[in-house]
Amino acid sequence: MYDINKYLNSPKSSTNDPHGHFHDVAPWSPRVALKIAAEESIELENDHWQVVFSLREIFRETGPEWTARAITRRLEKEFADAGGKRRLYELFPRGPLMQGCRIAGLPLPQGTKSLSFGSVH
Amino acid sequence: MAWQRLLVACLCVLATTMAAAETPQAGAPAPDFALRDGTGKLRQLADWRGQWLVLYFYPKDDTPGCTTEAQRFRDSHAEFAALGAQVAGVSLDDASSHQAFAKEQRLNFPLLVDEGGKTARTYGALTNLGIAKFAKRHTFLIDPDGRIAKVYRDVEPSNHATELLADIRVFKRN
Repeated sequence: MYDINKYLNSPKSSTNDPHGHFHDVAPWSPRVALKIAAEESIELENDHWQVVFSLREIFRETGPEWTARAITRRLEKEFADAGGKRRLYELFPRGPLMQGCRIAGLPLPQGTKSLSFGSVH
Repeated sequence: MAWQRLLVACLCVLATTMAAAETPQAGAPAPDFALRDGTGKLRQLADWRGQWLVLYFYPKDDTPGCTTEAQRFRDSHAEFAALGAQVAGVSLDDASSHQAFAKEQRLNFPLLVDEGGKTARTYGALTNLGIAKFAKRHTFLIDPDGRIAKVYRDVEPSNHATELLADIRVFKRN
């Protein structure tokens, strides 16, 4: 089992890319998410967690080949009743993909031109 | 001595047969239960009437396989909800253990306390070693009418949620 102290003692470990994104889904726990979210000035509430958990599930299903377009479609569908993209940006003001993936301990998906939703191809 | 061995063997076969006969099977009404969750709230089978229910038994909070299984259910929560399905975990751990496990893993579904193992026994999902009892890793998919749609007695924690989602989609199509 992953030793959380390893991450907490070395937040910029070799599993991170230069932007702070993890390369895989293993070294992560909700406690890590809380810490990263605090660094991003986000207090995680239920909707934040839903995005985080859904991102991790999508990554599990698709692996590192996941694409920004597919993720965007799926998250907007999940949050359609709550306001869709607008709600997602309320939750993650600097971009649902950029902040969401970082907090979820995941690498950024392919096709992410800017580090947020608006300009993926 | 030979006849004693034969008698013991017969009793073992009889006990196994009786246990199998009492175990709920697919198509039968799901045995009722009333269990408290980690917060103390009473949960009954009828609470989930009208929805699909994934009732999964697991051996122990905060152990590797059970953590993996719970994480997968947690991460798939939106997909289960989209299919009109809810998840509930059951083990013999006490409420404080459930609460700590749920908090640590941010679980978004209830964990039910079956401290004496009565519900696990009813579902044929109890291991009783005499000095210790724990739930087996068995899952029951219960349809919106309260009937058992499928029983899973050979569960792989890392892909069980995916397996269940696929099965629910098939059941809903038919």
